[in-house]
Amino acid sequence: MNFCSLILTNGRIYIVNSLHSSFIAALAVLLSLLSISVPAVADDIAIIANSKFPLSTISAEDVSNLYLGKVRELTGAGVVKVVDQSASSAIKGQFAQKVLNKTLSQLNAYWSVRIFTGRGVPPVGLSDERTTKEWIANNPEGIGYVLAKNVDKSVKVLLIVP
Amino acid sequence: MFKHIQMSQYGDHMYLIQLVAILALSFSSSLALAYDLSINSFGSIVGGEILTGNPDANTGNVQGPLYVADYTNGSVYTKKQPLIRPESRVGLQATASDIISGLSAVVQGIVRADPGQANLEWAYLSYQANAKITVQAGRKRIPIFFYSEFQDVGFAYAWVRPPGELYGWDVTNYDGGMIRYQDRFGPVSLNSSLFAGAGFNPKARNFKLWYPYDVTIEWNNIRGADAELNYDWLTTRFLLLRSTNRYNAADGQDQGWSDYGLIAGHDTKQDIMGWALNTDFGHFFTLGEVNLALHYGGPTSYRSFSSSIGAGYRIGKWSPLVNYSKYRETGTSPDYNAWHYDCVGLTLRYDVTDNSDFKLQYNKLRDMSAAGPFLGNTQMLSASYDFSI
Repeated sequence: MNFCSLILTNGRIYIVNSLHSSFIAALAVLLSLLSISVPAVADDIAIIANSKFPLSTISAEDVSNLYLGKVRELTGAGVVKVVDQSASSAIKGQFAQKVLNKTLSQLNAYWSVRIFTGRGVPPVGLSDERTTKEWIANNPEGIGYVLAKNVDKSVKVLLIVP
Repeated sequence: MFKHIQMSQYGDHMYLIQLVAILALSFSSSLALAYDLSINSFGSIVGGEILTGNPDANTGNVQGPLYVADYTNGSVYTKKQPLIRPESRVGLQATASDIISGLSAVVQGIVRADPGQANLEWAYLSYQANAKITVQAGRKRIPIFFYSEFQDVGFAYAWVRPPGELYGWDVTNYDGGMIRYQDRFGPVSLNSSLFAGAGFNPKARNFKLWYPYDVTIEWNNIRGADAELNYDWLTTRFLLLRSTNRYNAADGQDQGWSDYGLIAGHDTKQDIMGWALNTDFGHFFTLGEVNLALHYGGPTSYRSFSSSIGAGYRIGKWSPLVNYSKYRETGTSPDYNAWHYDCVGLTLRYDVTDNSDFKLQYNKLRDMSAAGPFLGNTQMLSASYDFSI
């Protein structure tokens, strides 16, 4: 059976007909791929909660453990719900790198393991920061994150991540 | 959508557990049950070609040149030509969360290009009793190795495939129960489980590597425990498993099994011990695992020791990795045909998107079996496109 490789690159699909030429083509394509660098946005990230949330501060380690599903409760707060941002949001990549110490690819691989081993599911991702703040207003036991510059009086800031 | 659905044939009570899980997922709004339904999929398009091999190699039922990529599913490359069927697969998992407070249901099916049929891999109910304890019942993957439970999710690991020297066993899934305990002690997180049940593998594909007829395999009285500890850059996992195994061949064709330590229809004991140690420093990472399996109670006892160690480095979206793995059997009988081989692998992974990757991998296998060649010295080139949605 001839080997046909399907390569997805830059949104176009290349189909080649033989293994040897496909490997050579694949290698050439990969070597020619340019990592598109998005200029890092240096905005601070605010971990926010409802004004009735029992804690006034939270550590970056606790935030990381909650968002990676390693713990579900905190001392003094009980069970804590967390809400994420959607995969397409610019802030999610920053949050993953600054707080979780993972690229989005590593984070997706991490959650692939947990999903497909039955150990948990990732937190729900909301569409934007306005929706996040609305969720916070309706969930006194939950935390979320927004850009620090978008914080307003409707939420309590637990931590600023530079 | 599915050409064929293969259900468990092992025991009406276990079948009922799976059916309950499936029904839980298909609850309609008329039953006034609100739940969150999430659908996740994964897949791998894998191709490979034997660059050099030994035409005199013979596993018992497969003539060389050959390369066994996945012992569990009997995925083998033969002849020096490119093949895409042995390992390509796509899976779909549906999870219904909070059916009733704390209760979830999970169903996972996989379609493998070889043999071209769909299998119901997982179907279980999960109840989160509290923040630390979860109870699960139904059909799940036997968690023998570190990557066992997600061995089919190529996007989740660094190689094209987990080293075959380690990752191969007779029965993949089991029907039973599991209690999972999750906790945190300062900077150290713990994820542990106790599990018990039974597994059944009709017409075992891995046995087709050795025999031309169908063999059914039972792993009964499975009981085991595992514990995974994580501290920042370090993850380590321990496993203990014990089972009573039975093998049966069609029409009593069980000749030649004595050197495998088996008698058709008789029980054979099995003890498995495993330890994995992985480190991740952000850019630099290592992967290590060892496994010792003891088989006794048959006409011939034997043990197998397998190990794998690898080191990689992330450079942006690129992750090169070098790996060495080894498998060796020792039998109590002087005429036991022990397998002994090792393998060096070089892998280059590129993250195409945040949910997909492309990998190229070169493997060089050295067959040191005294009674061989079973696999023969082989060089193999593989490529995969993996995704997880």
